[in-house]
Amino acid sequence: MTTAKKPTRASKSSTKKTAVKKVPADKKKAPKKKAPQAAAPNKSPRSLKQKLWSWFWRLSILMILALGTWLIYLDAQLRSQFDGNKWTLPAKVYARPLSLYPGLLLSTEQLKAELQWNDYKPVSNVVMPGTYGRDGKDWIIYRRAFSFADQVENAVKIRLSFASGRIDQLTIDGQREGLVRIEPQYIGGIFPAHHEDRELIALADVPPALVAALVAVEDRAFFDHYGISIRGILRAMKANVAAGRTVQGGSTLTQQLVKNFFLTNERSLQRKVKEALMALLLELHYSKEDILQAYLNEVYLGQSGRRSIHGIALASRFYFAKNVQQLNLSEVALLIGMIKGPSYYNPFRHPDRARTRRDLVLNVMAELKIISTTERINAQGKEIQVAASGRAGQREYPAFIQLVKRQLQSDYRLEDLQNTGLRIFTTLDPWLQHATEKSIQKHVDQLEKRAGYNKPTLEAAAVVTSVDGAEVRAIVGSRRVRYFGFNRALDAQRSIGSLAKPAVYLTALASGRYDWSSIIDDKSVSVAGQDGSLWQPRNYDKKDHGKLFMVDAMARSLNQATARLGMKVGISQVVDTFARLGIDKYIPPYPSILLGSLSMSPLEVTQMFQTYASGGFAMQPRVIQALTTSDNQVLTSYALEGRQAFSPELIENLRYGMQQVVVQGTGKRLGRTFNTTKIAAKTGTSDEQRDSWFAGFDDRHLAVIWLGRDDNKSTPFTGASGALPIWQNIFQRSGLEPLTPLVDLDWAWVNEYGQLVAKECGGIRRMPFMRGSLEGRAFAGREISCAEAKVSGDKVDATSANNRETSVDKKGGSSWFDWLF
Amino acid sequence: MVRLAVLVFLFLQIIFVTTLSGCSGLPSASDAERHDPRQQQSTEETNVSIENDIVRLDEGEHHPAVQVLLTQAEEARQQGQHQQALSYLDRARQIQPRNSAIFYRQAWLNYQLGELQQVQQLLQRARLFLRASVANFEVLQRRIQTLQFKADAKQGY
Repeated sequence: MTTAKKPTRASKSSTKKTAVKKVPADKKKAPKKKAPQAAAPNKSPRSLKQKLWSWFWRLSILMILALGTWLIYLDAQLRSQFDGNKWTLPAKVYARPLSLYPGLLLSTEQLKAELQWNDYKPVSNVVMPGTYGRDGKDWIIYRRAFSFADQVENAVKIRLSFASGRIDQLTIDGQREGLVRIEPQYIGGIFPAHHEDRELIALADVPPALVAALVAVEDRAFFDHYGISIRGILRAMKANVAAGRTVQGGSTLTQQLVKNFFLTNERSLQRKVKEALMALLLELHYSKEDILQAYLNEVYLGQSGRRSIHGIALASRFYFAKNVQQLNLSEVALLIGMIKGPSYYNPFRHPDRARTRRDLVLNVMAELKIISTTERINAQGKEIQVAASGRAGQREYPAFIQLVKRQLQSDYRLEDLQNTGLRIFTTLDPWLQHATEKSIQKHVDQLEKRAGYNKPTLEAAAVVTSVDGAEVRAIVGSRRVRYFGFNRALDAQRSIGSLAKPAVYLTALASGRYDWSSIIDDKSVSVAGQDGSLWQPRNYDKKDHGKLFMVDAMARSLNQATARLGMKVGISQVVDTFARLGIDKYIPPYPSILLGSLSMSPLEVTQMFQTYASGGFAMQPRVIQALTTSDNQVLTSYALEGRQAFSPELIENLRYGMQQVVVQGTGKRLGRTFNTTKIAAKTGTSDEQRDSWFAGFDDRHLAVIWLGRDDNKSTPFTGASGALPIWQNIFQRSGLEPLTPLVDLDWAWVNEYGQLVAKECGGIRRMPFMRGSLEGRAFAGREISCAEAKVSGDKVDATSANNRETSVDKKGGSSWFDWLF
Repeated sequence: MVRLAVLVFLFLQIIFVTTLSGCSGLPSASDAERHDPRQQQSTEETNVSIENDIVRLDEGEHHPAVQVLLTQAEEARQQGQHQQALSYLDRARQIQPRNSAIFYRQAWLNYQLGELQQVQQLLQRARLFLRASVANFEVLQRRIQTLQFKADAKQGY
C-alpha cells in the first residue's frame, strides 16, 4: 500500500481522489455488515479475507494503471522539454566590433584593453585563436572565428605595424589587407524574469579532463548505471551514517540534471521518486553524451547580482575570463568542485574554501589516474586566480543595455528578446565607455570632497555619441556605473538651464535679422506673466554687462541679454526651433524657457545637440546596428536616418558662437587643456545650481554631462565647475580631434558699432557671416572709408567687461514693454 | 666641375636620407598618414561610358578599408542581396563619416530599391561633404545632381 500511495500523491491526478474515496467507502460498509456477521459467524472470516484480497487486487491494478499513465505523461513531458530548444536563451548584446585598417588612429593602450576585455590572452608565441603578442614593434593578434551580423568570418592571424600612433600596415597570413575586425565584446543579455544566463557549448568542445573530473567527483558510475545507482545510494548512506549527517548525495548526474531541469528544489520523498523515474526515462531515450552535454549546460555555478550563471561555458568566462578550452587543470578542478555549492565555494568571496575544494577534486582525479601525480602537484601549487571582478566576463553596462531594450521594445516583443537567443549588435564603444565611467567616478569623488560632503551626495550621468551618425558610444546612468537601477541618462528630467541658449541664438540667426556682430543689450529684464507674477532673470554674477556683440552674450552665457534677444525674436519661434531640433515634447511658450526653465533628460539634450553636431540633421541617438536570430538570419539592420532640419551653413554659423564659449567664455578652460579652441560647447547651470550641465563636441564625438543631486537640492557647482571637468577628462582619455568647418562662411572685420570695416579702420573683431549676406553691404571697409566710419548709434560698451552694478528695475519694471526700449 | 660636385653631393645625401629613414624605422608616417580616413576622400573614375552615373559600387579610388567594403557591397548587390550591400556601405560610412562618395553610393542603391525618402537625406549629406579639393569632384557633383533630378522626378517634385 505504501509504495502505491506515494506516486498517487505525487501525481496530483484524479487517481488520488479515487484511491482516497475508496478506502473510507470500504470502512463505512464494514459496520453495516457486522449485523449479518453475528447471525452467521462461520462464513464471515473467509468472506472478509476474500473481500480484502479482492479489494487489494483491484486497488493494485488501479494503481498500476495510474502509475502507467503517469509514466507516459512524465515521458511525454520529458521528451517535449528535452528535445529541441531546451533552454530559453536570453538575447545576447554585443558592442561594436573594433575595425582595424591602415590609417586608423589607435593607441596601443586601447588595443590592449579591448583585446583583454574580449578575453584575449597575451602570449609569447601566438598560435591559438584568442591570443595576442608582440613581435618586435608589431602586434600579432589571432582573431577568433565569429559570426558577425553580416557574415561569418574564420579565425585569422593578424599582424599590425604602427607609425605615429596610427596603424601603418595590416597583414593577414602574410598578405596585405585593407580591413579586418576583432569580434565584438559581449556586453550583456536581456534576461527573462528568472535572470538565468547561460552560454551553450557542445560536448565535443569541452576538454576531456573536465568531463572526466565531473564524472569522478559527482557520479563515478555514470557510464554504467541506467539513471539511478543503487551502489551510489548505498555508498552515500554509509558515508552519511558514518558521519552522522548528510555529507554525500546519492544522486547520479542524470538525477541531478532531472532535478535541475524539470523539478523544483522541494525536498520530499515524492519528488525523489519522480526524479528517479524521470532519470530512468531520460536514460532510456537519450545517450550518455546527450545527458552529459545537457548537464554541462544546465548546471548552476553562481550568481552575479540578479543574474544567475548557468553552464560551464558561461561560468569559465565569468570566473576566469576564458573559454572552456583555455582552462588549465587548476581551473577545471575548481569549476567541478564548485558544483557542490557555488556560493559556499565562490572563489571571489571564499578563496580558501575554493582552494581546499579544488585540491580535493585534484586528489580524486589523481587517485583515478585522470592526471599524473606531477600534474596534481603542479595544479595544487597554483594560487586561485580569478578574473578581476568587473572585467572580462563580468563587464556589464546596465545603462546602455537599458536603452537597447527600450529601443528594441518598440519593434519586438519582450518575450522574444528574452527567450529566442537573438543577437543584438550595438554601437557601444567599450573604450569610450570606459573613459566615461572612469571620468565620472574620479570627478564625482573629487567634487564631493571639494564641496565638503562627507557621504555620497552627488549623482551624475553622461551620453556620448558620434557626431555624424548619432551612434551612441557610451552611456552612464549613475556614478555607480554597474548599478541596474534608476538610469539618470534616460529618465532624470532636469532643468537644462543655459543649454537652451544655443536654440535662442539659432532662432535669431535663422531670422536673418541678426548676426554675431549684432549689438544687443544686457540691461535687466522684467516680464509680467499672465498671473501677474514678474519674471526677472538675473545674470549669474548679478551684474549688468551693458551693450555687447551678440556672440559675447552667448559665449559668456548672459541671462539678461539672452532673455531680451529671445523676446525680440519671439518665444513661439524659439519653441518652434526646439521642435525642429528634435525635441518631441510640449514646451510651453513662457519667457522662462529662453533660459532653460524646462526639463529634459541627458538623452534628450543629446538629441538636441546632435543636430548642432551633425550639421543640421535631426537624428535620434541610435544604439542598435543590427539584429540577428540565433542562427544568424538578419532581422533588421538599422541605417543612418534623419532629416535636414537646418541648413549646414546656419549650423556652421551657430557653431562659431559655441566655439566662442571655449575661446573666451564659460568653457575657456578647455582651450588651455587641449591647446585648441576648435571645440563647440555650452555650459548649463539651473536655478540655485541644482543642475550642472556641459554639452560639447569635437570633430568625432558629442558628449553631454549632467551632475546634480537626486533630491534636487542645490550644489556648489556651475556647469563650468561641475560637469565641464568630467567632459574634459573623457576627451583627454579618448583623444580630441579639433572641429573642421562644415561649410565656408564669409568673414569680415567689424568696429565697435558692429559695422563692417577694414581692420585698419577701427576693426576690432573678425566675425563670420552667412554666405552672400555681405554682398551689397559695406564689405571689409571697401565701401566705407575710414573717415566715414559711424560715430553714433549702438556701440559695444568698452566697459562691459568691467561689470557695472545694475540697478534692479529702477524704473519700476511692472510693464513688460519697458525693457523693449 | 663645382656643379657636378654639388650634384653628386646632393645625390649622395638623398640616398643617405632615404636609406636612413628606410632602415631606422623612424615614423616615416607615409602609409599611416596617407591613409588617415578623415583626411582622405574618394576619387571618382572619369573614363567610364556613362559619366553621370556609376555602374558599380566599387568603382573609383578609395581608402583601402572602404575599398574592401565597396567590393563586398558590389558582390552582394550583384547577388541581389541588397540589405547586405547596404550594411557594407554603412560600415564604410562609419569609417569615413564624411566621404561624399559613400553617401552618394548609399543614395544610389536606395534609389534602386525605391527608398526615396532615404535617397533625399543621403543626397543632402553627399552634397554637404562634397569637397572641391578632391580630384574629379565635378564628376561626383554631376552624378549627385543627376540622381537628385531622378529622385525628385519620381517623387513628383
